[in-house]
Amino acid sequence: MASLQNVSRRAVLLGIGAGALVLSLGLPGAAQEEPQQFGADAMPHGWRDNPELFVSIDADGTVTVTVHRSEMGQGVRVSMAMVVADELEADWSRVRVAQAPGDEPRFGNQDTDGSRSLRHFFDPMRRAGSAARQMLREAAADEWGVPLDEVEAQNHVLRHAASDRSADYGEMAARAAAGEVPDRETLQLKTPDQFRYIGRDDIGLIDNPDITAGTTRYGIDAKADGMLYAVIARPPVLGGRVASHDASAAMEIAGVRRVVVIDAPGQPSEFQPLGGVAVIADNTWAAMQGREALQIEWENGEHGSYDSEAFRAELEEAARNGDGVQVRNQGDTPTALADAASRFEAEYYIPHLAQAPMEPPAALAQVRDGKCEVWACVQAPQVTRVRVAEKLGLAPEDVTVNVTLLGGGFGRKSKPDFVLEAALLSREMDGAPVKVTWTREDDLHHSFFHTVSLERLEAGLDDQGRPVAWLHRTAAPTIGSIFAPDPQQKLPFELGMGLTNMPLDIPNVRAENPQAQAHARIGWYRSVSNIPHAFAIQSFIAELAHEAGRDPRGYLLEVIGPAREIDPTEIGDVWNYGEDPARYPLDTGRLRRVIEVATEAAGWGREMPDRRGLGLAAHYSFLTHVAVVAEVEVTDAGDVVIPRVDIAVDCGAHVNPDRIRSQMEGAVVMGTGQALMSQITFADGRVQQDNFDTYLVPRMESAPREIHVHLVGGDSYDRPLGGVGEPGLPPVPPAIINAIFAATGQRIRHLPVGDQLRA
Amino acid sequence: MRLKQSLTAICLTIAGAGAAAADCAAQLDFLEGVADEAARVSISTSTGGQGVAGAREARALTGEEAPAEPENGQASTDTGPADGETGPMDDMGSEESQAPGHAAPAEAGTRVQVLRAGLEEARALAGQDDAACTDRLRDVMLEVLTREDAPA
Repeated sequence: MASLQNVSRRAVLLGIGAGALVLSLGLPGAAQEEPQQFGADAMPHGWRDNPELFVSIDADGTVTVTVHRSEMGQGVRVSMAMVVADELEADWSRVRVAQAPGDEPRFGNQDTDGSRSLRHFFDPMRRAGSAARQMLREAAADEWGVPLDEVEAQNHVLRHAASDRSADYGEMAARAAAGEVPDRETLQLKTPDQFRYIGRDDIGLIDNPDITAGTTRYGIDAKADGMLYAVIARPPVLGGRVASHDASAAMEIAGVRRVVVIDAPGQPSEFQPLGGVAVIADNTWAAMQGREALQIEWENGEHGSYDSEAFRAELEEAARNGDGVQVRNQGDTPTALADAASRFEAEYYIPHLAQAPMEPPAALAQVRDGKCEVWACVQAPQVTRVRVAEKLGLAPEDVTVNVTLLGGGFGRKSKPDFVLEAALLSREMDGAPVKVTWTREDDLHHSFFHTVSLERLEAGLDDQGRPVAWLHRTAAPTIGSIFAPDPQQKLPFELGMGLTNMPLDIPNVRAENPQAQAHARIGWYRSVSNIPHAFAIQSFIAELAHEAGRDPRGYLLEVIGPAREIDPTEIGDVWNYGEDPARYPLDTGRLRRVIEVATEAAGWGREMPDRRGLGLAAHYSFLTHVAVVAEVEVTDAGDVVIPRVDIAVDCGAHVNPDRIRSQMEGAVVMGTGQALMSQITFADGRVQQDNFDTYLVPRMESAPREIHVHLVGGDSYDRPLGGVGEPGLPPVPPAIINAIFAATGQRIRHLPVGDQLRA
Repeated sequence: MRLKQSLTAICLTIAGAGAAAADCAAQLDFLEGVADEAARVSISTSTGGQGVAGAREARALTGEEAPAEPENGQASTDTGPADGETGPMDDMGSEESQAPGHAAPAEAGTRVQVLRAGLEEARALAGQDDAACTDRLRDVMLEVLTREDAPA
């Protein structure tokens, strides 16, 4: 390949300008020096499949599967255990689960985000279970002096038929433990027809009995002897700091031990604590009372004038003036727009959102003897470990992160700022264990918020009303703003969530990304940038269908075009969720199929009563195809009732169908909130919502009355797995909004609906 | 070779070819192949993790080496599963089943996106106005190489 050294930019520019610098270069070759890695291979610390790490068998035969991913209600603890137990041929009633601490060098990647725990660990966990089964068989063969291939392992029992000998797994565990881990290549994995648990629909959550009994321990439940309790008054504006404070009244509160100032971080602050004033007390109530009594003068900094209404106008202007970076281009969109029979344009606004997990962030930490031990509800335990170590000046090996159950996460708990707070305060209290509790208000005021977006779409239409040109401008602060100083453009992985990989069959497509500055901490929120992209695109297509006088379903299928596989890198995507585009192409046939299934199940086209309508949306995200049909009724008072939602999902093989259904149901409810009521707004740099009375989420009366989940395409394990945790969400809001239009003729372009339907 | 180096090399190739830019379409064929490869490199090095991808891409923005993640190292085997829940099989040998893990720093792909979009623009000109096509190629290379705020 080409070797090019010491080439300055000036030299390059001179070369271009002169047109005279001619080098003979053997290109392309950018990837030849380092092998390309995708999926789990490319993740920090990759994957592990060693049974020594994940499988433990006691002498009584109890199998303990160590799960290294965080459980936040998605069921990863049961799904991983099912996979291991299946290949192990374990009796499910004798399987239990242990939670791994944060230790990626040991367990492989532990970032529980991106809808990829099973996607990346299905195969490694199968191998771990299979290897353990083989080790047990080898132990039995050795013990009995019989050929290995005559020893069978089935349902926790090893058996040699010819000699009529058998043994429980527990009887052979010690001998098996002394054996060698078999080579990966020698493993005999089951064929799908041999699966005992994989694909079964009746396993349930392994934690359900404890959850039902109220005996589960979440981060907020963590306790230690001598534990102190802390709450923190944090700067209300991003980048703010304590100008002065008076803690005298707080110290008068019974039970308050100490008041500590935590320095504000520099910006960008990544996952660092926001700083502020901490009150440490004998109990949470005293700490909260102490915080109330604090007198604090804040210095707000540059974001003190952040105002959501004004910022929306900024985004609109940015999206309209057309000087954004071009991030995708097929054909000649300007010419096609100019030559189109007609044109149609629309703007869609999606506000900030808070993840608002039912359990707010909480962490217990103890720093003593040069080590730190943490108990916390974290989605990224290794990142937590490293950040705590850095903060305390310790080696990562001296930090233990015990991962509790998470009472919801949705991306908020990928950021360990709250754990760092606890660690700092424990050190400050001479090594006493300190638990930092975030109240609901703390969480809503100081989250890493879902970005705010303005999506502007313009289509050039032929004389049949079909789009021949498509211009999409997306203006939104980037997640990159918590990592780098003042970036103004969305990162490729954000754009790759439904924009640069948008698969519609349109000859002229252009996507542009105007600048947008962040004034709040922007972070991952379930489904991330798929939310605004799907809302805008699926709303816009429905609007175009209406303009053309067409049925939205037929129009959507026509715009998607015939079944075909598309290499996402050839249309502008450079992320593809980290997966090999050859293995994970865009598949419009699968997208069409989920639309067909959802609409058929919902009775698309049936006669609807007055002020009731059906809305359709479909979206591909996290390598999974989802279509949603919402049935909506709008009352005369302008209230929205959702009698029924049908959601069809093709995520590849259905390893744990019960969990897929659960995730889709949860996505429908969460998406209902996005569509109808949820938003975070800012005034004077401060979040205006305090609790669930102002940050509205669906309650029983606003949740869909019926949710029907349709699992599609799970008939083959040859096809790689897609994600499950996030892809259900993006098509839900546009489906509901399209249904509202069908019911009322009123088009909602700004989320949430709020009172827009009320006279 | 890092992506930016590759693009620099591409640029030099274009610069050289520019003197005899008779066939813009042929150059586009070549460069689109490079863009395909660069896109795959970008996917490979950005990883599939949202948090990781964001952190790494931001590192590419700032030009800093990993503040968050340690080097991909060998396993530590001195701690057991959580809660001290150990059984006989926990004592088995040392870990040897290592995935290759990640090796390369972030190259987030912004330049590839811009390159791809520019090439497509040039493609629309190819065959109709080769001079304009070549001008567009030059412009997009300048844009890609002089972006101060973009990841490599």
